[in-house]
Amino acid sequence: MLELKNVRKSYYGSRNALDGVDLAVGPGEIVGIFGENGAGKTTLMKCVLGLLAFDGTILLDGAPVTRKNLARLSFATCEHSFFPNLTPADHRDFYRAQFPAFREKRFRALLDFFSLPEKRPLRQFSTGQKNQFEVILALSQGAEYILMDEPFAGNDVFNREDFYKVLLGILEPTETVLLSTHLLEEVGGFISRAVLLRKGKILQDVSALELDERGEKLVDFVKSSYHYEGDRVSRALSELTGEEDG
Amino acid sequence: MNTRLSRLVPLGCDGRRELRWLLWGLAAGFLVNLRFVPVYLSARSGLYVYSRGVRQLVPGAVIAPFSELLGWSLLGCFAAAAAMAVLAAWHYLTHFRGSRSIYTMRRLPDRWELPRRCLALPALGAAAYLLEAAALWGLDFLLYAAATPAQCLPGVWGF
Repeated sequence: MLELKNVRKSYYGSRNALDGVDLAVGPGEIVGIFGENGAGKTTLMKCVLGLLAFDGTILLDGAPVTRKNLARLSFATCEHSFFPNLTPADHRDFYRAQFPAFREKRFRALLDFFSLPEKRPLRQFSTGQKNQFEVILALSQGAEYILMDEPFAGNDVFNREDFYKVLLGILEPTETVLLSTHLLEEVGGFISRAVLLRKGKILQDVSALELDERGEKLVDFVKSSYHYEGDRVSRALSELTGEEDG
Repeated sequence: MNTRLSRLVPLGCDGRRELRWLLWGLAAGFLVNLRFVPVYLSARSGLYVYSRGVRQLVPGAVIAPFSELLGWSLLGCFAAAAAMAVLAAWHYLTHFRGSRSIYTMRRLPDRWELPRRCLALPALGAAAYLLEAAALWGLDFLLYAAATPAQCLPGVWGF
């Protein structure tokens, strides 16, 4: 169980990026973390991983996240955390040495699935291939909690769909995924829970089952939670047109 | 050797190439220090006068203090040692080039992996340059003390 209790984070000279976040994520959940840009999704993940200092408590099965249990968390980010001068084979060797639970079979299978070359440096990969490899590493580390921050930014739709299918196929019941993305339509049928962040606070926390029972789509749920004004585009256009006419 | 060396530099960096640069630094420190030889020989020749082709010590002549003759002869070694701080910073910044591999390095179970890869070679380099400086100082001093007539050495040898 990953627990966040009253987690606060503020960057120097700005408002709170996280403002008293309480969240508990159990084994096997696939949690979508949604929110506008600047809502605190990335900050939340970085705090969990210890990459950012924060106030509050983050516990992994009741213990603070330290070097002792940090290997139970993995991270895939759109910023990429691999080593660009290394090949996938080099990464495999490094991860195998660093993470005892490294899943070599899964690594090889995913590499084959995406037809990624094993002996070419990552810097020579396309953006899509880099994203794929970033996620492959996170899935192969042998972590129980897999944190993904916009992992598919830059991938084409076919690639993403394939990835969701593969992800659902390979995840074991104890593996937990925290996925931050803007691709609401695509992940709607794949997550088990949706957490909405706004201005550093949890705005909504709802299970996919609950949404199903309500007959509400994820994208509509997010829009209504955010009080999305459906006519804002037409209003803006008419204002602009009026301005030009005037 | 290369595998062991590659564990002392950031992943993806060429440890052998960095080691070659460090060796060039040692050579540069030595070359800069060579300036001591002509400076010393010039000071020593000032102790003598030539009379009808015969070299004679100037009565009461004293050679310049060692520290004065040494001047900036060890600057090459010290500059190279100081450059190791730049190398360490460069190693760290490597983890921000082309990706944010710093995220991976900072969440490794082995807390020493990142400091080792950033600092090991610069620390070894700095230690080597300081040792070189000490050794060259010793050699320079040996030359100064052994090749100068005893009566021309200053009282405290210029420390």
